[in-house]
Order: sequence, then C-alpha cells, then structure tokens
Amino acid sequence: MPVIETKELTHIYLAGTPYEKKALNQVSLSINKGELFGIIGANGSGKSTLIQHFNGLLTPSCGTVRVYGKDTANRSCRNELWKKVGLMFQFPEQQLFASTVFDELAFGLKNMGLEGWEIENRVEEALLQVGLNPKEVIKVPPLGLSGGARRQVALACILAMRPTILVLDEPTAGVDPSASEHILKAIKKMQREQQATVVMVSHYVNDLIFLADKLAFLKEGRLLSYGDKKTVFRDMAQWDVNDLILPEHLKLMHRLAAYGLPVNTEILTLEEAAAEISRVMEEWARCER
Amino acid sequence: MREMITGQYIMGDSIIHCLDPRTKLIGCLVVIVVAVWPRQTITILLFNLAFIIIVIYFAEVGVGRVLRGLRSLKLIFLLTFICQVFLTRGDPLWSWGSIVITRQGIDLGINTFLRLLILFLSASLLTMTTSTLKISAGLESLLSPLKYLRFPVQQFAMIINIALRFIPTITEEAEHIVRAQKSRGAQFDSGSLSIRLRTVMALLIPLLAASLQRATDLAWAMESRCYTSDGQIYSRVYKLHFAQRDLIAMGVISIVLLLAIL
Repeated sequence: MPVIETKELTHIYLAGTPYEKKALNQVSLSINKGELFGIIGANGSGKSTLIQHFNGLLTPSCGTVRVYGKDTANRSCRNELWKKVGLMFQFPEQQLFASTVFDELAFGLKNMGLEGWEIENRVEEALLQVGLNPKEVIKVPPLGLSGGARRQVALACILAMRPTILVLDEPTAGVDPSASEHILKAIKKMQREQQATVVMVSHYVNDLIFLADKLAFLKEGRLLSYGDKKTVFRDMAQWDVNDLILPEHLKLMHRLAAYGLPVNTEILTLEEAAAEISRVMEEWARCER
Repeated sequence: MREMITGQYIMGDSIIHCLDPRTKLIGCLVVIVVAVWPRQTITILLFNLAFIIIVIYFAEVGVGRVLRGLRSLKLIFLLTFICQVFLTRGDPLWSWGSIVITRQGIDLGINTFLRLLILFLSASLLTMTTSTLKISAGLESLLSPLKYLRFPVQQFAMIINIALRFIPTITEEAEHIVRAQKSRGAQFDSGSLSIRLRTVMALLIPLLAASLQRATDLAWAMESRCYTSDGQIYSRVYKLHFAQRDLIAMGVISIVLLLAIL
C-alpha cells in the first residue's frame, strides 16, 4: 500500500509574477511502506520542492498529494504531518540554534508534548543511532562541533521524533566520508529495524545505487523515469546526465550505448558492467568468425 | 521564494525603467517632500497620489501588484487613522461619553493616511523600477558634492547597495529556516507567549549566524578583489547617462512641484 502518493503534482513558484517558475510539472508517483526511495536529479530539477510536499510544507498548485491516504490540501491534516513525516533539509546544520546538543534534540520532542525521562531516553537513543557518543556531546553547544558531527546532530533531531516516514534532502552533501558513513548507516538501520519508509534525495548517485529500493529521476521539474533501479539507469542513458555525479562504470555503459553498441544498460554494479561488456565482445568475435 | 516582496526589483524596459536613477531619486525626493510638508491640504496630496499612480501605470509593473503590497501595511494605516481621529481636538462632530470625534480629527486622519500611502508608493516604485546597482550609483553621484566635506560618499553608497542587495537573500533564508523548524514542530502562530518566544529564537539565532557568516564571506571576497575603503576611485560597469528623456521627466517633476507649492 502506498504511504505517499502524488497525482499530476504541479508546483509553480511566484505564480502571476514576472519571476514565475514551474518547479514541478505533472509528477505522479507512489512510495510504498518500508521502501527506501531515492530521488535523483541535478540542481534545479525540483527535488527539494517535491519532498516539501510530503510533509505539507508546500501544497500543490495543481494535482494532489496524499500521505497515508489523506490529502495534504486539508489544513488540519497537513498541520499534524510533521509528527509522522520527519524532513531533514539540505545543510540542516545551519538551522541548529540551541545552547546544548541536548536542548537541540529536545526542541522537537517538547513540541510533540513529551516530558522528562522520555525526552532523555529518546535523546540518548537518537545520538547513539547516528554514531555519536551521548556522554561526550550532550552538553556541548552544537556550533562547537565539527561540520560532520553537526550534520549527525541534525539527523538525530529528526530521528528522536521517531517519524514513520523519513525524508532527507542531500543528507551527505559536503560532509567528510566518516560522518557520511554514519549517516547512511543510521538511515538504513532505521529503515530495517523500524520498518520506516525513507525518501532520500541526492545527486551523488553512488549513495543510492545500493541503498535504494526504487528510484525516481527528475529533470527540469519532470519525472522522466521511476521504478526499479535498473530500469531507471537504463532510461537515464537517453538523457543528458552530465550534471549528475554518476559512477564511472555507468557513464561508460551509457557512452557505449550512445556509440551504438548493443550493450544492455540495465546494470548496477561494476561486475555486471564488466560481464555485459565481455558478453558483447564475445558476440562480436563470434560474428566476425 | 513563495511570494514577491513588496518593492522587489522587477525587470523591464518601460520608460520609467530607462530613466537615469538620479532622475528617479530626485523625483522620489520631491514627491516625498511635498507629501510631508507641514499643513499640506488634502487636494494637493490627492493630486500627488494621482501623479504616482500615473507613473506606476507607465512603469508597467502592474498597479494591482503594487496595491496588493499595501495589504501588509493595513494595520499601520488603520492605527494611525484611528489615533488621529480620536486624539485630535477641535470642533466636535460626534461624541459618546469621553470619546469625541472632531472635524479636524477626520481631516488629519485622512491627511496622514494619504501621506503614508504616498511615502510607501513612491519608495516602492523607485526600488521596483531601479536595480540596486543603479540606485547606489545614482546616490553616489548625487551625494558626490559631499566629498568636499570629507563625507565617505562611496562607502555610504556601497553600504546601501549591499543592504538592498541582501534583503531578498535574507528573506529567502528566513523562509527556509521557518520551514525547517516547522518540520520539527515549531509553532510560529502559537497562542502561548513562552512557546512563541522559543520558536522565534529558533529562527533568529540561525538567521543571525548565517548573516554574520555571509558578511564575513563577502568582506573576504571584496578584499580579495582589492576593495579598500581609503577613498580610491572605482570604475563602474553602469555609466550613468542623463538623456533627453530625463530632462523631460525633470520638467514634469518641476511642474508637479510648482503646482503643489502654488
């Protein structure tokens, strides 16, 4: 059963002004419970606009968005969505404000109406989840931490609220590899152990290749391909994807296909790419004989 | 950004857009001085307002859009009007207990309302039709005689330029932070004062931190391009050019001024 469903979702910024911009154009997709759903797209492709519809921060100019079967156009339903849908924005460390890490995490929990030991328990658990030692960081001001650790704290802020849908906008952009690994691990763990649905936006395709169950490919506000990973990568070969960070072996396969070689571009791993290339070369040799 | 900010620059090539920024600055100043001149009659204010509306029409920025910008100021308009009406003494028109409405009060209320309207419209018309670069170039040129009094004209123009330039950026940033904190359950419209205070802190602190960071970055960027404040002369991309149309515009402004004075 889909937990998030969009139908012909169109979003126009500054409608009716000279700066009018269509950020999303008739996007229809559905995301099932427990899935890790990856959204790929270059800057300005509408990824961030799309995910802000999932927790009701934005409402469609046209079309509908349903979360848990309820239309987000309904104000009262939209205002309760933040408890179920945890959204982490791009560069979330820039939104930290409290004087200690504990207060930072407690902000969301207090807004949920929790108190006392429940808050302490959740704070500790969330910090462990993202790979930070609660004893070390809990009394430190968040702005005194390193960039990577701040990102981990920001993720912990969302995880502590125990959302059933986790939406992440470029969670690993601009952090060091070790923090990035902790973040991805925490996300995967959350999906496995709590059967959470995860929507993750990235233009680092490498992050999503193995993590995601399904993918969507956005370009200039249009949903060009969506569904099974291999199908999406195959479809991507038809479009100009120079603005995305694709793994080298996928780039090679796309180039070979563009040259007119009969390679199958429905592949994910380096090994599959190697096997496909040798298969095509063997076939060639056989034909020449 | 979700909505246009009132007074945000709108690109265009109307007659008003093409005028020299100095003409527009002087025109704006004239209209404002006429409007705030003490003991101004309502007729002159209405005449002034009509002039501005005609200019808005020629600027092709949409009279409706400009007027829509007024919505955010309705409370100020209403409050000043009410204060003037109830707090002015004179010939009573109507009274109820200690509350007295006087003819002078109503006169003054309408008068103040029109003045505020003119101030708002003329200033937003200026920024809607003139890019920040041109405004600062115009200011610098108009204020240049003050150089002889050792007034740092160029730095002043640069400060104005930077301030205007960053209004949309900071607004956008604030919107972004509001949305981020809303997804953590921040209630910006809560009834409780303590909750509201906590929520506002969640907006102000990151916004302040980001602004300071941005200011530092900008300072470094300017310094690395050899910007100094010791009175060097910098060349400009936009050369100001006082054309015939500016002369005509100045003529129109002078007539408006004369009519207002007479």
